[in-house]
Amino acid sequence: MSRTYKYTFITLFLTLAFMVCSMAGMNFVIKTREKQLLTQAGEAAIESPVRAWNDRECNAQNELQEHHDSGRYRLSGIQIEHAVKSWNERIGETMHNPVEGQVSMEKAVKMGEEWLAEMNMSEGENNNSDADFTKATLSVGIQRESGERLLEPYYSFWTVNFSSRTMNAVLYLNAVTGKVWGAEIILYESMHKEPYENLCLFAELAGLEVSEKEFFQIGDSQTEATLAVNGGRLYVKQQCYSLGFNSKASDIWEENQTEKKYGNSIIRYQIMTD
Amino acid sequence: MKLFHKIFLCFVVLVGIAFQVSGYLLVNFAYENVIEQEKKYAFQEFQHNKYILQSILYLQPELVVENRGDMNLIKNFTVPIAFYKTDGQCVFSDMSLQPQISMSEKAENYTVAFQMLCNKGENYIYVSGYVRQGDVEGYLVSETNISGTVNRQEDMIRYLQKICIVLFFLSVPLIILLTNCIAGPIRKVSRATKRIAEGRYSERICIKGKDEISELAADFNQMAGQIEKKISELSETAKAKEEFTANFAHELKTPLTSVIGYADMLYQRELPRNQVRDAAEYILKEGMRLEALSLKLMDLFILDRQDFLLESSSAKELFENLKQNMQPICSKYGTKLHEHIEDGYIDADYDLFKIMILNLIDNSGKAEGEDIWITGNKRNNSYLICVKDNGRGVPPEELSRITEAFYMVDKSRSRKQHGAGLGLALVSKIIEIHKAEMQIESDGKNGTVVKIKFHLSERGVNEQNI
Repeated sequence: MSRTYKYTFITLFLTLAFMVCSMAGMNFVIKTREKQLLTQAGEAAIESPVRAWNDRECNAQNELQEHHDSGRYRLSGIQIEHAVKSWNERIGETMHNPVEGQVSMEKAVKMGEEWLAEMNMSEGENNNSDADFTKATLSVGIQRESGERLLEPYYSFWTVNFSSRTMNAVLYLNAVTGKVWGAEIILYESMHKEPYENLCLFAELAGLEVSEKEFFQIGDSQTEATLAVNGGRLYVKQQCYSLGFNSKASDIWEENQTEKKYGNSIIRYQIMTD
Repeated sequence: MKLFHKIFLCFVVLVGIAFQVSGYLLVNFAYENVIEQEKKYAFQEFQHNKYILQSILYLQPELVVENRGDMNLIKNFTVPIAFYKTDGQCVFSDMSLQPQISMSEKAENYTVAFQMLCNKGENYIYVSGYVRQGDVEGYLVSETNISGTVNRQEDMIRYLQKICIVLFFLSVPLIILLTNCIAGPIRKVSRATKRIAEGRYSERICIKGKDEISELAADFNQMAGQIEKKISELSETAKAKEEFTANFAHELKTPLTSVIGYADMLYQRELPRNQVRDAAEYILKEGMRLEALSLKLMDLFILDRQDFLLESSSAKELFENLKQNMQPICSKYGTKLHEHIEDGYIDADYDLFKIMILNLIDNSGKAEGEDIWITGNKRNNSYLICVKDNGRGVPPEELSRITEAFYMVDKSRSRKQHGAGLGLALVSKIIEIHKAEMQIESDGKNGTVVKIKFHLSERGVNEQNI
C-alpha cells in the first residue's frame, strides 16, 4: 500500500512540476516572440488604396474644362454618384499620396480658395476670401464592406482646412475634378445671401447640372434647403445652424473676445444620393 | 508505477501541451495582428503629419530654408515628430529618442522606413519618409506610442495564463475519471485473477463492451472455465485414486489379517492335524486370492501405461482362438457355454480382447447360472458382442458402480470365490482402449446381459458394402 502512495505522490509531484515548467517555458517563448515583434525594423511600401487614372480610361465625352482651367477630367453622372455615396457612407479615412490623375495639394488649396471667394464667405465689399490655408490631406473613405481591390481615383477627396477671423472652413474637394463637393463652414459673421441662393451656386461650382425645373425644398425650421440636380439622381443640401450660448457662457465669451466679433453660424453643404 | 499513474501522466502531459501550444498560437496570432494594425496606424499618422508638414512648408518654406525650426509649429502635429534636411541636419524635433533609421536616398513616395523601439518602458514605432514641398525636401520622422497596446497584450497574456491554470486544475478530475475508465476494467481482471488463484474457480468477470478490455475479459472467462473444468477432472481423478488406494489397502489387509492370524496360530500352538489342515487351507485360499488380486492389478497398471496397437481381426477367429480358454472356466463353474458368432472385422488387440471375454465369462460363472450365451452380430457399422447368463443377476441400483475398481455387490461371496472386485474394472478399461461401448442390463434376479458394441474396421465396412 505504501508503494502505491509513493507512486501517487510522485505522480502528483510530476504533474505539478510539468505544469510549472510548461507555463514558464511558454512564458519564455512568448516573451521572446514579443521582443522579436517589438524590435522590428525595415522598409515598407505603402500601397495606395486607389489606382492611377490614365487617358485611355476617360470616356469619350471627357474634355478639358476651359472655364475652370483645371486640366481635370469630367466625371460621368454614375461616377459622381458612386464617389459621393462612398464618401458620405464612409466609416473612416485612409490617407494616401496623390496618384496619376489626381490634383496636387497646391492645386487643391488654390481651388479651395477660389471656391471660398466665389461663395463670398466673408463680409466685405470684395468677394475675395481672406481665409488662410492651414492643412490639406488626401484620403479615401473606408466602407463597411471594403474589399481588397484598388478603387478608382475619383473616390479620393482632398480635405482642405481654412481659417480666418471671419470663418473656419473645411472643404471636401474631389481629387480628380478638384471641385468642392462638400463643405462645413463656421461663420463668425453673417452672410448676406439667402441660403437657397448659395445652394444653387454651390451646385454650379460643384459641376452639377441644375435642371430647369428646380425641385427646391426648404425645411420646417428654415435652416435646411435641398435642390435636385443631375436629373434628380443627386441632391445638394444646405444646412444652417445658429450657435446658441446661455447667458453665462455668453458673458464669458464677451469677456474673453478681442477686437474680433464672433458670429454664430454653421453652414454645411453636401451632395446626397437617393 | 501502476498503469493508472502512467495513463494519468500521459493525459496530463497531452492536455498541458495542448493548452500551452494553443495558447501560444493564439497569443502570437493576436499579437502579430495587433502589431500590424499599430504599424498601419503609425503609417497613417506619418502620412497625416506629412501633409501637415507639407501644408506648413507651403505657407512658410522659410522655416526650413532659413533653418528656423519654430517649436510652436510642433503643436500642429498629432504625434512627436522630427524633420531633417537631406544632409542630416535636424530642423526641429520633439521626439524623446532619436532613432537610427536608415533609408535609401530620395526613396519613392510610397516607401517608408520604420523601426520599433523600447525606451524607458515605453514602446514606440518610428516612421521615416521623404518629404518634398516646392523646393524644400527632407526626411520626416514620426513617433507613435504603442505602449497602451503592448500593455493590453501583456494583460491578455497574464489572463491567458490564469485561464490555463484554472482549466488545468479543472481538467485534473476529468483526467482522473477518464483514467479510471481505462484502468478500472484492468483492475477488475486483476482482482478476478487473484480470487481464482485463491481457489474460487467459479469466479468470472462481467465487463460490457466491444473493446480490447472486453475481449480480454471474455478470453479470461473462457480460460477460467477451462481451468475450473480441469481442476474438477483432476479432483475427481485424485479422489478416484484415493478411493482406489483405500480399497486396495483394505482388500490387501483383509486376507492378510486372516493369514497372519492363522499362521500365528500354527506357530504358537500345537494343533491337531485337521485344524492344521483347515488353517493351511484358509491360508492357501487367501494367498491365491491375493495372487489373483495382484495379477489383475498388474493388468490394470499395464493398461494405464501402455499404448496398444489395434489390428483388424475377424471376430469369428478371435472367438475360435478363445474357445480353449473359455471352456475350462465354464467347466470350473459347471456352466454350459453357448456360442453364436457372426463373422465381422473389428479393430482389437488379441490379448486384451481375451482378458475382456474371459473376465466376463468368469463373472457370469460366479453368478452361478446354468448357461452362458455369447453372440456376435453385425449391426450397421458396428459389431455387437453379447454375453448373457441366467445367474442371480445384479441389482439395478448397483449397476452404475459395478465397473468401479474393488467394488463387489456381495463381498463375502466374491471373496469366497477369490474375487477382488477388479474384473469389470479391467473390462471397462479394455473397452475404453478399444473405443467401444459397454452396456450392462440386469433385473437382479434373472441373470445379466453385457452388450459390447465395437466399431467395424475398414475392412469390415468394405466387406459389408460389397
